[in-house]
Amino acid sequence: MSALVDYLISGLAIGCGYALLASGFVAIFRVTEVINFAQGTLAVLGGFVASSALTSAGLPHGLAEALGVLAAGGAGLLFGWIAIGRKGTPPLASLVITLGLAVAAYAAEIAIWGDQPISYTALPGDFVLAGAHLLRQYLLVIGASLVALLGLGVFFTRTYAGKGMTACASNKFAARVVGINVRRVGLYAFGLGGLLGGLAGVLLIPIEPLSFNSDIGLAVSGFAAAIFGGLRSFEMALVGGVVLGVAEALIAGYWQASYQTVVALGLMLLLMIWQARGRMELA
Amino acid sequence: MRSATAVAWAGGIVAAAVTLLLPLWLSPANLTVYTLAGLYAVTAIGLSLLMGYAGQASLGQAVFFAIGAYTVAAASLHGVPTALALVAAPLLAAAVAALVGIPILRLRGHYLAFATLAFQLIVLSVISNTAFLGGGIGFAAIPSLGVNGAVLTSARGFAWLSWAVTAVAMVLALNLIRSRPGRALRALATSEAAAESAGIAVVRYKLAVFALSAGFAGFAGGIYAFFIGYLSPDSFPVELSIEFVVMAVIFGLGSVWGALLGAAGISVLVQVLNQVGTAPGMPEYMPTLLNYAAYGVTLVLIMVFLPGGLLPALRSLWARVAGRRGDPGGPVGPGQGAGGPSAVALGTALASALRLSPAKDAGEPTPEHARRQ
Amino acid sequence: MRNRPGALLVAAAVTVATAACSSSTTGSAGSSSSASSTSASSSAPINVGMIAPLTGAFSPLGEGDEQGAELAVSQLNAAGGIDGRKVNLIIKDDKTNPTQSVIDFQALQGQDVVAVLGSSVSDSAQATAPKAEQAQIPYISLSPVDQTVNPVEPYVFLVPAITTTYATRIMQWFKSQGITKIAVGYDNTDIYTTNGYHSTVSEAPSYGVKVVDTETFQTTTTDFSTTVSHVASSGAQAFLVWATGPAPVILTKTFAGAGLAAKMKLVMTPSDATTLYTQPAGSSANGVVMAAGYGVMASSLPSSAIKTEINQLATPFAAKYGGQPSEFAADGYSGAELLFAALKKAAPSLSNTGIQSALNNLSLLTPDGEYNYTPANHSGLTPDDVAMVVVQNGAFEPTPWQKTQYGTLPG
Repeated sequence: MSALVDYLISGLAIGCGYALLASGFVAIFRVTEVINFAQGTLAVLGGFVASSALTSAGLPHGLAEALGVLAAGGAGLLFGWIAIGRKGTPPLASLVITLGLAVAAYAAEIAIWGDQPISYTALPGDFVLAGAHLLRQYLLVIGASLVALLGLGVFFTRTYAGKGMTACASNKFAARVVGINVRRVGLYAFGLGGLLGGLAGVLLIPIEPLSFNSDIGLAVSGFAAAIFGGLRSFEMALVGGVVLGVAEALIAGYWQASYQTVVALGLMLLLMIWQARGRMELA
Repeated sequence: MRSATAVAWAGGIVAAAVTLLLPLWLSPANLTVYTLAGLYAVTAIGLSLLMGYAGQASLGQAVFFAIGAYTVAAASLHGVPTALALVAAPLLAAAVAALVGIPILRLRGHYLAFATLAFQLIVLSVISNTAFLGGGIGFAAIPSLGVNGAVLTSARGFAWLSWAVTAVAMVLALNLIRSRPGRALRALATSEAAAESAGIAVVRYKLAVFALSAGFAGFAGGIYAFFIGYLSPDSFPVELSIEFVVMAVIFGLGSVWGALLGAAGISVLVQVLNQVGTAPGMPEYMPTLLNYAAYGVTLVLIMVFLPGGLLPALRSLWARVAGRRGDPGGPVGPGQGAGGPSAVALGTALASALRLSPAKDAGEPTPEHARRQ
Repeated sequence: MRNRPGALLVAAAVTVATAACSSSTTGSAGSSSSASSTSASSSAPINVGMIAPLTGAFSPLGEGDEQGAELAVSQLNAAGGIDGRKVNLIIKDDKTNPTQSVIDFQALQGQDVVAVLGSSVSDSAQATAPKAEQAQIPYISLSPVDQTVNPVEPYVFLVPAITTTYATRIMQWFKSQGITKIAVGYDNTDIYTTNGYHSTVSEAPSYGVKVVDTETFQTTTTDFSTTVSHVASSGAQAFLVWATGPAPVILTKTFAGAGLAAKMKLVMTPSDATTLYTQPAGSSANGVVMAAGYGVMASSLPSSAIKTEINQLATPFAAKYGGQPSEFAADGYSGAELLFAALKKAAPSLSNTGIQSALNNLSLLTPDGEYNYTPANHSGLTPDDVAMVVVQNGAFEPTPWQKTQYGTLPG
């Protein structure tokens, strides 16, 4: 029983991390139709900057993480500017550009932080629930993610800026007619994606050390979760993230950790193919 | 322009002769670079055909390279004659592609990109968990490629084999482009709707190109296995797939020469950077860093400024230098000239083939896109 | 065809660039010959190649390998070299990547090296040793891959012990502690660790030890919570872990974080006998027992032949780098010493066969222990060459049991 609780809670925590990454994908895709392959990179950057802030600059927790998140947001803006800033870049070209940015980021990351994994302890210690030893960090991840995702929901439905973004997402042409600068909103979406990715990074890095090439695994997991909502729904992204995280934990716990990838990605593929069948247009 | 074609032919023969003689002068380290460049070129050609003609973004080309390599390794280590194993490699890769293509080629552009990536990760994970395929440890001491007792072990021998395989792949690809199915493919790349209305079985052609592209990669992978003699799932990471994309994209998708130049050019660039990175005083990780920087920055620069690739840009430069009339630099229709597809058209065709219909997406209108649908 | 001229221009440029590139490298053009650098001048340096993971996941290993080997080379050259010829150590980075190791080996071949000190990355050893055997270049492997010496390949020799040797020593320790139930964890993507697991299973019964739980993970695994919780509920008295790189550090921290350090012993293998494990693991590593070479606990050794031998490495090492040498520095130093002993015997011809036969009949005391190579045994070490140490505050101390074993020290 305690094992089950262990897997459920740790899976929930990781899943919330996936949900944050997924929401970054969703935020950017809804507005720009671009899939930001560098979403994982933004998480890694956020975590790395927070780690440096803690160790080199000696900043306290909270401030260091905030710095990491902001840095990731800035990086997101930069990535967005490069990926969609130029007129006439089709969305698929933008996807490939984000791919290139993720690889180029490796060079920058190695130069600044080296090629070994990095981690830090945020909320130390563990607590016991139903006999299971659980990291306190899990609670932080779950709590912070839920707050962030709630905030996202409020932002998109109740604020002017958010509604403008939603308008862009549903009909770019009409949005432009109403006077919304679609390209600038797209940049903001990238910035938002950066913030969300950075938050995921600073929350996950105490649980699993990240290195410069951790971005692919994170991006793929985040994308898999985002697929649950067709890349457009934040709520479904949360559901997807949690389902994925818990499923992975259960597989690792009761079966074998090495099968996690196959199951998670297989699920994603099946979902994508299923969703495509429902559409009239073929590739 | 008969003289132009003759010049082109002569030039092609010269290039072939020069590259054929090169292994006589290269040091062993550079022979390795040469050999791998050829194998990567074959894979890049396949990918270039796929992305340029079938308009399918593939971030997982390395998986077919891996399937070819694993076929050779598993088969020859379990007693299959090495030459037979090498023949099986592209066939198995193509078969897997055909099977997997049926469901996933229906996906839209960005979904397909991630689907190919996911497929690579799944295959690598399955291999890691399968003892018969070497598991996470992989295969070592792969037998040497040989027929009737004669085995290939010398570095120079492998370099020439690589040359031969590249030459054959180029001839195949160029002939395919010029053939009737090739023209159908070009039509496909420009506009699927139009192609379909002209009676072309879009799905079947896409599958065929996917399988062919996988076959190219599989054959190259098979030779790679004999060459290095060792492989494991870690030999075929996602980064390798991205490297193939860079090679295919630099000079222009859909161009066979472009893919060759992309592979050769990147390989040379990486070697140069290696020399720079291992100079005294440089930190240990410099070569790795420069490697990633080269791939990433190249990809970003090309996709932002020259998504059609370098060849069209060079062509317009040449035209201006030679003072020719008629600027070939602008977007042109497919099938121009005796058989050379316009890399520009195909580069943008990649994007247009995957766009949503105009009503749903009134994005940033540009001259090229306005001309499409 | 319109695009032909442009393509040709670039093709020609690329071809020229490739040719220029090849002539600008330091490697000699032309085929690699089996003759070594027997140049006419008797004072020309002897080229010895080395492949090490200077970057990538196993860079802590490569750093140690390089430090140890370089120290041995500088000591040798200061003492006059071999027949008056200095040794030139050419080190290549395999980036913890076996394909790169093969490429590096091919590059070293082009530089006419007399022998190669092989990478400590087990996959690199697996990939490269067959190539060295094929090229008939003596290959001194710094990676404990049992398959490289079983069956014996004429040109491949092993510096670390094979995993059965380590497993035997660890079992001896378990028996002395009255431990009869253990859990085993290993990286199933690495051949050293996988061999280690198999050796554990085969040696355990003779020492009355039963394996009650087996855990697998990968070199890249970062989350060990399920592994640790499985072990916790298995009833094991000790958890033996075969792992290299960052993974054992994370596992150790998770193990300590789950409060298991009080309930059972965590036992590691020589691949973790380095400050690059103890430092990041910090206080979670206190009390972790490890099999290692005697080099890591040099300062605690009683006066003995092995201590004198180790100090030849440890003293200059401390002066240059501070602290004790890691397992890998000891491996690099010992491997170099073994090679130099063989080179001295094979001088002045230094032919491949000469070096190989010298290695085939070599007995030498090194920091890693007392080696006795024979044509049938290219491993050369026994369980008495392995120390059982315990980590305390970042340093390696002898376990109480080890102190009772000083009667059988090597040398």
